[in-house]
Amino acid sequence: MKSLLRCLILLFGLCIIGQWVHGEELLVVVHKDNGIEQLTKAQVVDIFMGRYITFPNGQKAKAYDLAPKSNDKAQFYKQLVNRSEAQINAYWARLLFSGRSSPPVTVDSPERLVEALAQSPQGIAYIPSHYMTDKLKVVYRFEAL
Amino acid sequence: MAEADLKVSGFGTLGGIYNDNDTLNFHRAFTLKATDTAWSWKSDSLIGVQLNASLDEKFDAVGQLVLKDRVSDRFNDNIELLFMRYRPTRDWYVRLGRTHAELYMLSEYRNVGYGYLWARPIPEFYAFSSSISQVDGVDVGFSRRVAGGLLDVKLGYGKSNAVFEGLNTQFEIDLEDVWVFTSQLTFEAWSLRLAAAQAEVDSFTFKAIGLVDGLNQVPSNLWPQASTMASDLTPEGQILNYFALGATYDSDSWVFQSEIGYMHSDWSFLQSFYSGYASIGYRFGDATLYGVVAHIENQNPPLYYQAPNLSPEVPPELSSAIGELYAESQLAINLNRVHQSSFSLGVRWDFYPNNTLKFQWDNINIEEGGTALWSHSFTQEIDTQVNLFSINYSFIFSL
Repeated sequence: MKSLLRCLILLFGLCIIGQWVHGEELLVVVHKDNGIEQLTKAQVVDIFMGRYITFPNGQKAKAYDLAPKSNDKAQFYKQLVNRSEAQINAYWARLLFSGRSSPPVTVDSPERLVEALAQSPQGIAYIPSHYMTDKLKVVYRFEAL
Repeated sequence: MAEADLKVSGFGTLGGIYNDNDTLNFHRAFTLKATDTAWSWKSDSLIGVQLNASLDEKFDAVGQLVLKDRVSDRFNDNIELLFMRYRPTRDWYVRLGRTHAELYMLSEYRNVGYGYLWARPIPEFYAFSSSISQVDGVDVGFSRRVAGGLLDVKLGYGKSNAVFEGLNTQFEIDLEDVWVFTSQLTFEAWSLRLAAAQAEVDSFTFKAIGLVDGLNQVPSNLWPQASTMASDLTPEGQILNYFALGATYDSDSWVFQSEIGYMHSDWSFLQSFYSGYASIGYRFGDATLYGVVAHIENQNPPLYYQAPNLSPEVPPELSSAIGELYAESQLAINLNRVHQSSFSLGVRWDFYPNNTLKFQWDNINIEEGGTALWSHSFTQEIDTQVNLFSINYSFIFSL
């Protein structure tokens, strides 16, 4: 029993450390007037991996991405599809240059991302939770690690 | 809300390759010139520019120009993509214009070195298919979520033209009624692919094809097999069929990819073959170490036709002309045979976003009479081995 308890404490500790290593929670957000209320993880994958260029209701989707080498970007793609930024870049090179679809629009910082999204009813992006504003709406949250 | 949107992007590779064999000249596709020097910067180097125009929510257009060391000097052949796309609903699209014949996994992005692990698409699998890559026509695609994965199905129809180099000579092929069917099921890390294609040879320009006329002129009572040899060698109306199966796994540290294919043809100049490869890679941070094995081999043994058995009454000039015709035709028939295996080791280093360096070593064993993936001038063939050493710098950019 004691060892089980020790294991649980250790596991809990690892979760805390994991959360800390991975940074804060990322939210997938859209403009507050967007007709979409919620997305499944598969639907988020469909949009960010260029498999569909519309939301499930058929409305056009415009995905935004953070600049290369940002920790939030790395965390987002790791949690979404378990791939590194280099893998994601090569993936998009394949899609773009086979003429299938175009990668998300890159924005320099989360601040700029929130500004861009607040003016784009078709937009969808991921942001660290403390950037959340009342002009945006959360459509997907990653389960706690 | 309509929003016109133009985007310019591009890709390129600067590649150096060292070939340790001085009789077999390497090219990664028959549409590219083979280099006869040990070191070459031409085999893998290329540059591509793409324009994406989003016209409104349902219409968009793509144009792509790729400059490389092509055999053809026609400007039109540098246009890899030029199509309009219409998406009537979320799941369907129709494209009209020039698209890639999507026979195999890399067919659509074989020029984009940044997009794949290796120095180049595996020649055993891609050299033939990359040579007939541009299709002018129409295709229809459809996507749907199925059993937790995404199913993509596409059917294309059109025609194709290409100028080749092989055996140190040029030839040109026109294909019509090109049908390409592809289906792909993509899960989070796995993807499975099945494709089938058919094309009819409309015309083929090659000096050896003059032999067909010669064979057709031989009176059947002198040499009955001449007409069979002629019809087997005649390009027009020959049907080529491709079938391919592929699988990839790409997640976290491991990346795996394999494809097997079969090309069927009754044309004696391009005999049926099997090909395949398997590649495995492991990521260490920004570097991926990989190994590949690949093989290509004709389905049947070489084709031999019975030699003319002419009566002594046939005048000696005619007799020797027919004998020569037979020998040349027999040689031409088995010129395009393939039989080789390769083993490759390499590393891809993603040293900076959108920039990658690759080093690769290929050890290729070629069986006697199976050298058609190479350009060469000898007719006396023996088993041989080639080592290729490659260094490639590939990048992508957007303006």
